[in-house]
Amino acid sequence: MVVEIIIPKDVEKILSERGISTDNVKEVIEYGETAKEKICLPAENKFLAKKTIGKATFYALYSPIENKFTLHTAYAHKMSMKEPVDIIPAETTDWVCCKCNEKMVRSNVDMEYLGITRAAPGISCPKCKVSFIEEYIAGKTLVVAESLLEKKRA
Amino acid sequence: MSELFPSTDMKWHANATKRFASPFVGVNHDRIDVDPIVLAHAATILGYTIKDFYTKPELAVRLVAYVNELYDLLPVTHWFYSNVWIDALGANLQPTETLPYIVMEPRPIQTPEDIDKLHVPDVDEVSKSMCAQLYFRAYDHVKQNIPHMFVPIAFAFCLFGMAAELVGPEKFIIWTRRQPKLCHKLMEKVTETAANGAIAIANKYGFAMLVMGSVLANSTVLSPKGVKEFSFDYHMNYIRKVFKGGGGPQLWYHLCGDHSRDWPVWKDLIISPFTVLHIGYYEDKPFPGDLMKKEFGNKLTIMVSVDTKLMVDPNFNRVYEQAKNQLLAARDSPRGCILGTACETPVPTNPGNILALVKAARDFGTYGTW
Repeated sequence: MVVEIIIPKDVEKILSERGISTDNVKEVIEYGETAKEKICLPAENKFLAKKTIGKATFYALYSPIENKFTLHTAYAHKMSMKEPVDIIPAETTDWVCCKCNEKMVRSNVDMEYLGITRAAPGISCPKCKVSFIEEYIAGKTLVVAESLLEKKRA
Repeated sequence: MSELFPSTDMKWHANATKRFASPFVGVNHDRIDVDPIVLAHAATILGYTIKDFYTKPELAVRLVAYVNELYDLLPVTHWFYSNVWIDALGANLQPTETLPYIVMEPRPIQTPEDIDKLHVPDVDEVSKSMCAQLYFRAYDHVKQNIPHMFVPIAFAFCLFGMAAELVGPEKFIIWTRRQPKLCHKLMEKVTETAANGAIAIANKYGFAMLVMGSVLANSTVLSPKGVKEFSFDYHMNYIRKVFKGGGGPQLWYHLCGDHSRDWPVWKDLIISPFTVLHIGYYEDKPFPGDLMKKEFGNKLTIMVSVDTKLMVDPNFNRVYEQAKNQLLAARDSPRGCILGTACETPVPTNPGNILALVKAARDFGTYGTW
């Protein structure tokens, strides 16, 4: 699948600040579109896909428009995602799992880094259990957590 | 200030740091850590007053740091009081000779209309509050003088209790039954203010460990549904807002008082990679370590308790035995265990009882020997 992406200037800046390449983004969107491992905000026509590339997991938030994909943001975390330790069905989000058509719910997901497994806040599909990390958690909470784990391990 | 205190023994500190980190990095060190939540006890045991402790944050953080070294406790220091951030919402707080800051009458919320009029301070405004200024004094001093013991912490102790202090606790508890919408309106404003306070600390220091308590919101005062509605849900909103603003990633939940009926509510809490859950009591007994391990041990670090009341009595073996039993029940909790007291160790705590806690951790909390 050949993916054509439109990257607005402000998003280009975000990618550059976060060290995320256009190729990374293309790979994530291709994976989301082919494997259907993506979630969506139906009212906004926005999709969030993720893929582990090398040692990091990359996310792309995009909208398909006439065979092209407009990128809204992209982010990544170094911690490797494992299974959810809690899925809280009562706390639904606006996100919908594209495979199961179920509302994503709040969860805590095990993450592994430097051989250490600890949980982090995520959102998960109550049916297939696929989990995603939201941008603010990846960009702030996990970044600091990764750096603290590096220091503590040292 | 620094002239009062000899330098930290860095050999002790290096060892205490490894011990402190061990539950979070999965590398066992010498023994389970002990945190008796030392506050003004540090002042009185070292020759100062309770009022000194609460009005001189620079001195207070040094006293806690020194006591931590004296008792072989934590490699970091702290300073706090329970009525945080509410001065930014109009409460007049005053220190007393024997207590931390208390709310003076008249309380800022006299009528339901007062809640509507209440202005929620933004991050800049809350940074100028008395509470923020006291914390900044404490943290700036630590950062400058004993940076190896520095952790910026934002406290919310407890959001329900903070709202209650603005109204008057009895009146507020009655409102939860008769006028719950009013309570929610106030809880939202208190939560937002506390979150802005935490973000102010994170903005200044780069991150902010979040220490939260469900203290007045416990099983004696509220039903489990009430704890969820008036405490749990607001604490989760608080965490989300603070995380979005750059605070965290550490979370320390301190459920003080009796949580015998509402503890299952807390099974749905938000967890970050550095999360500790501490539950004080099950009815009038320390919350059982085996129950904590079973229900929470697979997902976060647990802190088990010794009855705070015992810390005053000159019966050291009773503290030692209770600590031993809690450690035997919870020491192999998969994501780590800390030994503490159910709440702040009382001001007149007998030092022999802190030694009893540490002795129990040395005797029964050494990893890999059970």
